Amino acid sequence: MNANESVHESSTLRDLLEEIVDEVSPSLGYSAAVKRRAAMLRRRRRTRRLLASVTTVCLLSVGGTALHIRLDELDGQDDTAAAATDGPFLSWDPTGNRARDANLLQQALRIWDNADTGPHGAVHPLLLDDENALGPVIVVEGRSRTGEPRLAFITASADNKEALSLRVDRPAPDPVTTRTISLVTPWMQSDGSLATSSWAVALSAPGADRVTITSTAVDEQEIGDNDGQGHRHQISFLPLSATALTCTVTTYWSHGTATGQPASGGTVRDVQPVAATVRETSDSSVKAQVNGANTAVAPGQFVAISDGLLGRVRSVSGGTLEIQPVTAASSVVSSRTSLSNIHGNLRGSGSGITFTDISDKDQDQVLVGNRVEVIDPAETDPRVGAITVGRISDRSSSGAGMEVQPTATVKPGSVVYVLTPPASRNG
Amino acid sequence: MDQESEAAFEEFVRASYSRLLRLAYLLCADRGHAEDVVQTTLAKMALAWPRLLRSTGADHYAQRVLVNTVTTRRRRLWRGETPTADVDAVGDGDPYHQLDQRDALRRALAALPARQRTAVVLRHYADLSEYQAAELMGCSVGTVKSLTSRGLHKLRECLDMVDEPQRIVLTK
Repeated sequence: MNANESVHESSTLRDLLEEIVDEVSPSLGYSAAVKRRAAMLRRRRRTRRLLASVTTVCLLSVGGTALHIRLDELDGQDDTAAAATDGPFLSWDPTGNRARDANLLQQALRIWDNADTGPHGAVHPLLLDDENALGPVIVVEGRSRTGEPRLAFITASADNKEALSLRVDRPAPDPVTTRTISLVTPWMQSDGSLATSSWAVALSAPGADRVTITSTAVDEQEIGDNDGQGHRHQISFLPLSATALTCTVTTYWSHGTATGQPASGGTVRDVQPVAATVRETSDSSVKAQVNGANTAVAPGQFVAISDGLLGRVRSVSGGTLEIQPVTAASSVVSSRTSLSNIHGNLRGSGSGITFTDISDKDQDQVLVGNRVEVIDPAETDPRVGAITVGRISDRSSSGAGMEVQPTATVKPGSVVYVLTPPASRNG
Repeated sequence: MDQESEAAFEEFVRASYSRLLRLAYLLCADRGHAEDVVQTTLAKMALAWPRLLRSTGADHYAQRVLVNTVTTRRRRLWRGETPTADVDAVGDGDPYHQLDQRDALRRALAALPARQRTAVVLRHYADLSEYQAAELMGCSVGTVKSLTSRGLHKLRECLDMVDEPQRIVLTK
């Protein structure tokens, strides 16, 4: 039998593949090489965590000179000078390996001008790049035909690097306070359908050294190195469980500070989070006020923050929401562990959560530290998006359920997001 | 990692390195890249090891990390993967074009688009079900079916041309 005939039969194909790999054997010293690489990853992770999580001021005095390294709170005041603004526009210098490519810009503008807001005037490119895993990515600002300042993300498609599509056309952000803009979405095929990964595009103001994108719904081991490549933009992909809600864009500024900023979504198929401000909290309920008018919010919808799931909408009345926290005594949420994918229910106990109803055969698979997550029912595809609820903190009483340490906590004044389905968006 | 965990991890590396290397070789079609991918995979495993230690899912987890690492690498280097030369230009220099079965299949496999290669290897070498392969590749079962079917079809096509090796287009 020749090889051609053999591929018709799976077992023989397997045998041939086995023969091919028979000649592949580990090189000498592989164990030490793995150890060295693990040590390097550990060092990198430590450095990244240090930069990303330090909330205190480190002061180093050398010869009377002090160097401040500070991580600014989200939305907090900071000492990073915003670029000089030009009216309603960001007007940052264009960046990317094709920043001066007029042809690529024209190509993108032709697509943007065909949108409802076109044709556009006073156009200013912010990012023109094709030296990345996605292909050409163009971020541009300009005035719509009605004179409104707009910002657009036009990108290649995950299934076709030649096919540029308008992903988002949104109002231009406040030029004084904005220092980072982003788009995170899995809807990146040429026809706007679901890609096999979520894609993230982030761009920071001049003065940034490096930009990284992380998600609280993704374990670090699941992704490649999204360390940034010394640019003030980052274009990378993440597992489908990452959505804008759970992603944070971290910018490392040249003068030693780092800032974190929630990522943005906004394609027509993305879940649209409706922002609400927490007014009061107790063990059994959280009350919040929807920011602006919105009729898309309904009982049963999930309420979350970037760190994780807070609970579900219990009732809505005149823009005021009552939220049942996941820790409330009667709360039950169907959930699963990340990676090991063990299903169960998260039951609130009044002050905490337990992971229960796990089948006997799966009990041993659930370990302390495992992340427990839920799929957002607002998503139109079950493969998209996940929201962390907490991590297993104690499994000693596995018969009665394992203790889970929730990751989301809020206080009066916190902004939370109600996850409404794309079709029911309003306002 | 404490001493006990470290010993268990070393044991895991010893037990799984060859298997992962073989899978990576079929997925990357390059020995050097395969070594690199496996070492990165195991280094990532080392970081997660304390919580994987008592899990029976370490093998599955390693496979998942490996496929993701291969995908990351491929996407990063997408410019490097372009159809270029015929077999003679990049081949091992068999002057008589007497390719044996193994060599012909290896070349045909290397010529497949990466996702088709991944689907064929996961289904027909790693013995994963369509559902498991879909989960690993982050796509639907239907996509795995069509990728596998197209991959096998192309393998047959390429192998039809074993006697005319100059017509086989490889990627490098």
